[in-house]
Amino acid sequence: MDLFLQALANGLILAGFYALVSIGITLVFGVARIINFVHGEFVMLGAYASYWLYVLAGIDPLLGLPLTAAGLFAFGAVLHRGVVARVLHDPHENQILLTFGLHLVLQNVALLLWTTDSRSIPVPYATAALTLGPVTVGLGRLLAGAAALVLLGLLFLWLGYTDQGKAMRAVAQNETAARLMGISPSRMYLLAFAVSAALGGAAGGLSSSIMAVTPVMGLPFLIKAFVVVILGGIGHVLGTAAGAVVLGLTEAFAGTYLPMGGTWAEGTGYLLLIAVLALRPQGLFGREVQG
Amino acid sequence: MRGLVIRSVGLVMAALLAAGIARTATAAEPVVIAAPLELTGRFAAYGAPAKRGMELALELFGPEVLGRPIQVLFVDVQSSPQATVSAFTDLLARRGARFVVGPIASPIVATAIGVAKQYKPIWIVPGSSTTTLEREAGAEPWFFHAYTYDYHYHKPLAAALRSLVPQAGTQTIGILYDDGAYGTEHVKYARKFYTEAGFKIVLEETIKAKGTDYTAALAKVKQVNPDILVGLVQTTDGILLTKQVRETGTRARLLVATVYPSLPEWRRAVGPAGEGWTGVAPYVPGVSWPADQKYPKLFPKTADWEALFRKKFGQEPSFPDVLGYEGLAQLLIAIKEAGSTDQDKVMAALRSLHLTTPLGILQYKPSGEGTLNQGYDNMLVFQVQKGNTVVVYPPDIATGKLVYPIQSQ
Repeated sequence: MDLFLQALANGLILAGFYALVSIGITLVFGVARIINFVHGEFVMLGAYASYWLYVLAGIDPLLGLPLTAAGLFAFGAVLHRGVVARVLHDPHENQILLTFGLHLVLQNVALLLWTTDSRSIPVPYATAALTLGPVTVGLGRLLAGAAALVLLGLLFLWLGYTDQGKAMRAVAQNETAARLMGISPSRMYLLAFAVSAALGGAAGGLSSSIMAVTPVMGLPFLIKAFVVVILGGIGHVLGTAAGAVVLGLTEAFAGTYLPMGGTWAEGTGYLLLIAVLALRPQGLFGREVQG
Repeated sequence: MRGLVIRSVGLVMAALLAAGIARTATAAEPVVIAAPLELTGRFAAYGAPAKRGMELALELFGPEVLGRPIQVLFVDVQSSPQATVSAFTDLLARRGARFVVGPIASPIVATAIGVAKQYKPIWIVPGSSTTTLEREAGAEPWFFHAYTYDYHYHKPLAAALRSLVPQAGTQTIGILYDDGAYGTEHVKYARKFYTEAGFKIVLEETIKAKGTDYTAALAKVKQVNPDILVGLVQTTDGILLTKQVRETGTRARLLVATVYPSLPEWRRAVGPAGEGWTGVAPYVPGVSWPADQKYPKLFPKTADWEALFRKKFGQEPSFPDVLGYEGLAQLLIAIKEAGSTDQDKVMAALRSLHLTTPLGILQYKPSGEGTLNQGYDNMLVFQVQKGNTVVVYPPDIATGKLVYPIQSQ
């Protein structure tokens, strides 16, 4: 039972982090219909931003999170205005090629700037163990998970209760109707992309003290994020959160209970993905679209 | 008579001219050494310091060997298999290099074997611990492995633990290894040598190479509760593993790694969570090898060599710095001792070397596992104590004692 509870706790914490990483992809796809392969690099850049804030200015990664997110918001806005906006109405293939190219460019720029050295912020709380009955969790990981939940909660509130959030949802539902209501879709696209970058950056900032920060760290997160959004239903915010819980728990329980679980944990996530694609291609929360 | 004088003077002048031309050509002809290294890309942490080490070796050796200038062709193989094959082909086929030092990382060295077999240069590899290299190139007489293989890591580690850990009761070992080539190869030797040393392995579990979470595997470790936890992963994964061992409250009496706790980037990244980790490395700063008797300028006492390095680069050397240094230095010494750049003579000179370097004793001999020219078989076992790497084994160069059990996590 102790092992079960430990696996449950590990899975839920993992889920919170996966949700934060993935939600940006869903947001951009839901609003602008772009499959964003550069999202993993937002995570990487956020991690480096937090790292350098700590090294150069002594700012704790959690306290520096608003700065990191704001920096990535601005970067996302510039990237959208300068590059991504040019392919908004192009075929998906062009958009995928462009964002994949941006992923390669940003990764290599990071390699040039910061080399392949692995870095991480050695704040003491990141590796402190918190024991609650039979369950032990890392304080840094717990704080990261909690911060992820807070950010996701704020995102839901923003989308549900603010004019901008409602306008964004309107564009996601029907761009023409939204335009007739006086909403500028191009502004919403930019906003969605920038918010997505900020969320990715925040995820990176949260990871900077509990994981290794490297120029190539974005890709594993990108792959996980795609699994999550496809599980939940691409473009569906609530579905993404559910997909993150499913993936986090699946990985944690597979890793704990299967022999050689470290290898199988990811594999079971992909098996689940294949099953969902075969049986319910629209994902757990997505709606079927008739062609 | 006049004709004879003119003909004689002409012949002498022609002979002098020919000799002069020949001498000019020989004097101008450099000894070309190719140095294909991972200067960028994912293995730049090995290749870039190795280049630094080679630059220092060149500076200390001097600009000439056999009265000819030394030309080292540094080429960036970009940590990429394709770029490595292209670089080797260009260096060996087009530029005619007959001496090669590098690259360092196992996957990159492996991709160069085919081209090296085609052109057969004298190839000094001051890195790459994979036994794949031994199987593929070990038997070649022109291949010189100036580093240790995977099995050289675990033999001294097992011996050190057997000798240093109190023997009351059978100590149990849990092994976490990455599911990539690194972990799966290392675990074979870890299993063999720890078992032979009398330890009982109670857990072998894979963790994902380049993973993002190891808490599930560590939950299994806590269930089994081994005395010693061994983590067979590479540096980036080592950082995550070290942090998660601490944050999950995994309480082994000893935490054992491979080489990564000797690297400054690991120490900076993990901070206090690295305290007590034990590792194995060919070199750690502060190791106390004496000066080489024959070449004390190139291989002074390790502390003096480190001071030279610090003076030039303003930082402590890491082991890839040393790999590049000793790789080039030994080749230059061999060429000098051969008195020629003739390949057979230089190979013979390399085989007769006996040098004391910052990596220990360099002496080429068969490895016993398939490599004809294996340069090193010694490794240091060290422990991180108060943020410093302290050599705990072998006893003759130990700078401190193993702390066992380590402080409560």
